Amino acid sequence: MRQLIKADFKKTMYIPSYRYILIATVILSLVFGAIFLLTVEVTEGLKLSSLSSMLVIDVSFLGMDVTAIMMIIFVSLFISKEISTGAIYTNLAITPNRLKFYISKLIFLLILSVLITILVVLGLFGFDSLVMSVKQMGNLEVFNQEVLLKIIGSFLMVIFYTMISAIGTFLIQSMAGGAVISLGLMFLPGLIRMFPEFVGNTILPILPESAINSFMDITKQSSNLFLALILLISWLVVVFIISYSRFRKTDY
Amino acid sequence: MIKLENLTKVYNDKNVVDNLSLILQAGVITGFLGPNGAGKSTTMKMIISLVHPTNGQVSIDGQAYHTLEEPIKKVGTLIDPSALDKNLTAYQHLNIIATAAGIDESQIDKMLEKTGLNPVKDNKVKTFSLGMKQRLGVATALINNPEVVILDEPFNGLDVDGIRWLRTTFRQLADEGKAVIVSSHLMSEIQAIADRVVIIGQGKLLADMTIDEMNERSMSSYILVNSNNNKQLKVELEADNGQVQLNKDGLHVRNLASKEIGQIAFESKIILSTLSEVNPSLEDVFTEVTNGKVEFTSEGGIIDETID
Repeated sequence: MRQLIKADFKKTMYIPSYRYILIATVILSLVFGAIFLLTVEVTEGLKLSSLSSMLVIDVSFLGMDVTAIMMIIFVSLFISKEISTGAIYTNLAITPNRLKFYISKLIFLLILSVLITILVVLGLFGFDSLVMSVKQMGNLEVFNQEVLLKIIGSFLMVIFYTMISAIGTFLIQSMAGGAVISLGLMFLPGLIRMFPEFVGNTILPILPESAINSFMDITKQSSNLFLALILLISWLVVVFIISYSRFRKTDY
Repeated sequence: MIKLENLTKVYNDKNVVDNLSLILQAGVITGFLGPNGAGKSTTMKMIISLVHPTNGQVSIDGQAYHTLEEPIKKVGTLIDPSALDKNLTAYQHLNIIATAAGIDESQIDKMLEKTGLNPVKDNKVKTFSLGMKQRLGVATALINNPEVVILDEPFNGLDVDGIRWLRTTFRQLADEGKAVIVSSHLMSEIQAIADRVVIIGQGKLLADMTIDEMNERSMSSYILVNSNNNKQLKVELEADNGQVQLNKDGLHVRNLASKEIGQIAFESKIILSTLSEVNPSLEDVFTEVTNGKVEFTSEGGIIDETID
C-alpha cells in the first residue's frame, strides 16, 4: 500500500498539469481569502479595522471553499485520467486486489488534501496576521477553541469533498461524474433553500454542509460535533460501498 | 503454468469467450490467433483479472491472478501500448511502475537499455511513435523479470529492427523457461517465433497444437508426387488408403507417408520424378480452421487477413 501511495505522489510530481493545479489551488485559495477579507466592507458592510481577530479568520477562511472546489477538480481529473488513458490496465495488473487499489488512492488523496490544507491554513494565518498588524488591530489569536474548531472544520470540508469526489469518480468512471457528485452535494443546500421552509428543515440537516458548518460557522456552532462527524463519515461510507461494489465488478 | 478451465465471458447475451479450456506451458512461445472479435484480448484480460469471467476460471500455478502476492513477478503483460499517461517520460513511466511494484530502480535503466529506449528516456510518451510505445510496453511487461509474459499484438508498429529484437527476446525468454503468450495479426511473425499455436474463433477453441502437429494434421499439408504414370499411381495409392487428388502440378497425396508412397511406386514399377512434402503456411491453416468462424468478412474474403 505504501508503495502505491508513493507511486501516486511521484506521478503527481512528474505530470506538469497536476503540479500546476495543486499550486493554483494554494495560490487561488490565498488570493480569494485575501479578497474576501479586504472587501468585507463592500460585501458585509463591516469596517475591516473594526473586526475582531476571530472575524478576520472567519472571513479569510472563506478561501477554503476554493481549496475544496480545486481539490474536487484535481481529484476527479487524477482518477478519471487513469481510467480514460487505459493506464488502469497496468495499475490493476500491478495491484489486482481492487480494494487495496481503491483504498490506496483514497489514502493518497487524503494525505494530499491534508498537506494542501495545511499550506492554505498557514498562508491565511500569515495573511491575517499581516493585515491585523498593518491595520494595527492587535495580534491574531489563533490558540482558542473557536479557531481550533474553525481549523478542524476547514480540514474536514476539504477532506470530505476530496474523498467524495474520488469515490464519485470511481462510481461514474468519468471526471464529469466525480465533479458533478461532489459539487452537487456542495451546492445542493443553496437549491433546497429555495423551497418552502419545511423542505429545507427536513433535508438540510442530513446533507454534509450542515455537519461541516457545525465546525466552520462560528456564529451558530452546533453543540453536537460528534453527530456532525458521524454524519460526514456516514455519507462517505454509504457512497463508498456503492462505488466500490461497482468498481469491483467493472471489466477493463 | 496457466490453466484456463471452461472460461466463458458473456457481454450483452453474446458469448465473447465460450467455454475455453487451455493449458499454457512454461518454456514455450504460444501464438494466439483468432479473427476479429474472436475473444483473444478478452481472454488475455481475464488471465490478469482485468475482466471477470462469467463462468469458468483461470489459475496461474494454481492461484487466481488477483490473489497472487507479487502478481507482476509472476505475469508481465502488454495489453495496449497506448494505455499510459502520455505526459510522462519513458523513465518516469517505468519509475512509477517500479515504485508501485516495489522493484529496484536499477531495473529501469536495464529495461531502457534492453528495449533501446535509453536515448529517448527523457522524452514524453506523447512524442513516441507506436513502435516506441510498443517497446515501452514490452519494457513494462518485463521489468520484474516475470515467469509468464503475455503480449497482445506486440509487433504492431515495430520496424524491422524492432521485430528482430522482439523475436530474439521471446526466444530468450522461452529458453529461460518462461511461458510466452503472443497474439498477433502478423501470421508470418507467429509462424517465425511460435512453438505452439492456439486458434480461437467466436470465443471457441478451434486449434491448439505445435507447429509440427499443425503441419501434419492440416488438410493444407500434402505430399506432391509426380511420376511417369500419375493415373496408375493414383489408383495404387488409393488402394492403400491414400487420399489422392490429381492436379496440374502432380498428385496431392494425404494420409500416406513419403516412404509408403515410394514403396507403393516401387512395387507397381512406376518411376517417381517428384516426391516432396508441402507444408502449409500458418495463414493456410488459419483460413482452414476458421472457415465459417469469422465474424466480419468482405465479399472477396476475410477482411484484413481475418485477424484483429
